Amino acid sequence: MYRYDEFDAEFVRQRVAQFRDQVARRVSGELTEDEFKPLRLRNGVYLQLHAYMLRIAIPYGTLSSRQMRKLAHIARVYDRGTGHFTTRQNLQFNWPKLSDIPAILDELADVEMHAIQTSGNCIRNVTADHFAGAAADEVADPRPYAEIIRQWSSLHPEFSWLPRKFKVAVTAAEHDRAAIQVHDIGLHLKRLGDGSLGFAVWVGGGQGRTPFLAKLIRDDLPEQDLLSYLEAILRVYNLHGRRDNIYKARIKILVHEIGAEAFAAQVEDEWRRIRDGALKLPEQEIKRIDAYFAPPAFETRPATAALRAPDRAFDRWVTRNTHAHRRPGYAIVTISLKPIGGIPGDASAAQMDAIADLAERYSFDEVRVTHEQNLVLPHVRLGDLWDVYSALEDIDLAEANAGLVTDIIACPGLDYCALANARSIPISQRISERLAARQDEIGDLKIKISGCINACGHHHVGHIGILGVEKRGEEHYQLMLGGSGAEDAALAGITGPGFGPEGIVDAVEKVVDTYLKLRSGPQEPFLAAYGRLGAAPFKEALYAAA
Amino acid sequence: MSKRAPAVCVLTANRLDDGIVVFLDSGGTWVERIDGAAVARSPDETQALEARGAHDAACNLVVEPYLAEVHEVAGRLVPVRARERVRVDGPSILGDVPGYEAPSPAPRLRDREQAEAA
Repeated sequence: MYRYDEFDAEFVRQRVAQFRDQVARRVSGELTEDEFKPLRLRNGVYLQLHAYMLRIAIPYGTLSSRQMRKLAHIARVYDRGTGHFTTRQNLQFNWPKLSDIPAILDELADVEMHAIQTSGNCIRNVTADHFAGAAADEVADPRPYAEIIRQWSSLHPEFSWLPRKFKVAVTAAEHDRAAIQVHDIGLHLKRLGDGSLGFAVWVGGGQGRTPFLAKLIRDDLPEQDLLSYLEAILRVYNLHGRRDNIYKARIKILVHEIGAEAFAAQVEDEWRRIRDGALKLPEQEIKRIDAYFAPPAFETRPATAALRAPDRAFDRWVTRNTHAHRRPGYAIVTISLKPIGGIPGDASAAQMDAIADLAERYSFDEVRVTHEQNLVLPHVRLGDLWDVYSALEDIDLAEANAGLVTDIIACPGLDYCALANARSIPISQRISERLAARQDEIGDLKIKISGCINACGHHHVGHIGILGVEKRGEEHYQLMLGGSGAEDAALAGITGPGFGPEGIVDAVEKVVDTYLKLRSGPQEPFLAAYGRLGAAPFKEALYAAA
Repeated sequence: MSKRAPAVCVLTANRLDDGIVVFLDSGGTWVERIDGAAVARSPDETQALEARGAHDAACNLVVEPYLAEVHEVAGRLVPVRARERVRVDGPSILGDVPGYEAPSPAPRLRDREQAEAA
């Protein structure tokens, strides 16, 4: 894992001290809310529906056991016993007191964490494939590049006041687990024609009010040119991105309005000017950062070990919640934070402590946070799977549902969020309870729920997407089908008139029943069946009787 | 403050120190429950509430005060918008939050309704 150097440690401590002073001046009345708001947002502090919320950055979703224990401690001491893992691989606390937040930030700094740039119109926490450094299908670990981007973008003076927020995601596998095509910049680390490492660069993706898939503007960027190319993209965006209309300020709108080719041409012009300057990445610097992410001391183990025990539940869990590891004898374990009827992404302090213990004992001290609101133990020996599973059962996190219909993404919605129009979590809970008994039969199916058009719940790329809206003061839900955030990225289409809270779960079940009835067989997943059948039979099932 | 003053409304905000939802009561105190909130039924009363909200925000007692439209149902105040009902009741899923530790024994509206129904 990356460790702070003296510069990192110093600037994080300075920011905590500055924020402590700013909070004191706010409480004393020296600062008005209008003056304080941009300062608190720069430090990840929102004022939500019921209380303040603190959003903590988890760079590229990687945590140590020590860091996880600190998050548990903060949940216990300063919050109400629970943390919420988000679709940006961050963690949110929903109940901190404003006056406690400087102390929380100090505690975070003790374990090399912070909340800087988790809000505001700046480059946000860089996300990455949650299986990075472990997956059998990646060309290299993408996290060193994510870390290089983090260092470049932290407090970048030119990009601290962009037209809007800016999100970067990195993956190094053909199977896109980082949803790069719905980010402002998506980077795909790959082997170039000459065998060297480089990037495919996707720009202008995003969800929200106006969703767009990203456009590929360069397919062969050498790794040493990563930062100069990103700088060129950000400069073009910073110069031409709209500041007159918040709804048209994201880079996706700029790319859409001037066209990907024209945008790419401007980037290339700027890049030619700066590519051989100070941002050229020296090979030794890449190696220096890479060394922080060196593989752990794996043992040489047989490719196959006793994976199964005479226990059907364990067997199901191994099938659904483990993934092929690059090293023989190891597996990647997904810890589902989606117990049936539970709250997607929530973990109690006790659960976080227990997961930290598991990571320390069984996974070389590493935990990952996924953008699908689950956790991952990236390096588990096959022979330890039973022990890990048993320990997860003890903390009610052994649900064997990774990628199934109950593994639902849901934003905090109207239960917490000041921007939301409708609740997301109770809808996800009811869908989970309704479909749990049939989830194995249904197979791979991603449901994603957002409580407003900002789309934190990624509804545009759900195989089944649900968008909560407000209709005459009441909650209402639009249903969408056919989206994907993976390498086959697609935006879901609205089925038709929406549903009230009492009807949306039935509507989802009708869609699922229609799929089960019309699929060519269990081997045809929902998204493939939808692609073959189109929307018509699903609309027929939803609306014909109305 | 709202662009269009609602017909019957209360004044709500978040407390500066902890962000907790509060309502201005008829005695001029910010309280956590809507029950005793001061109700404005006329433009003059609405204006008075708005002025009090702006004053208390300037005095750093509360943050972002605004008027919330309510119905008066059997002597109780019930917000018109779903959003405001959630603000009054608290998150609807707290009973399901793993490890949730309630901050205070004071019951909120939803808890009392459940107790009365039991």
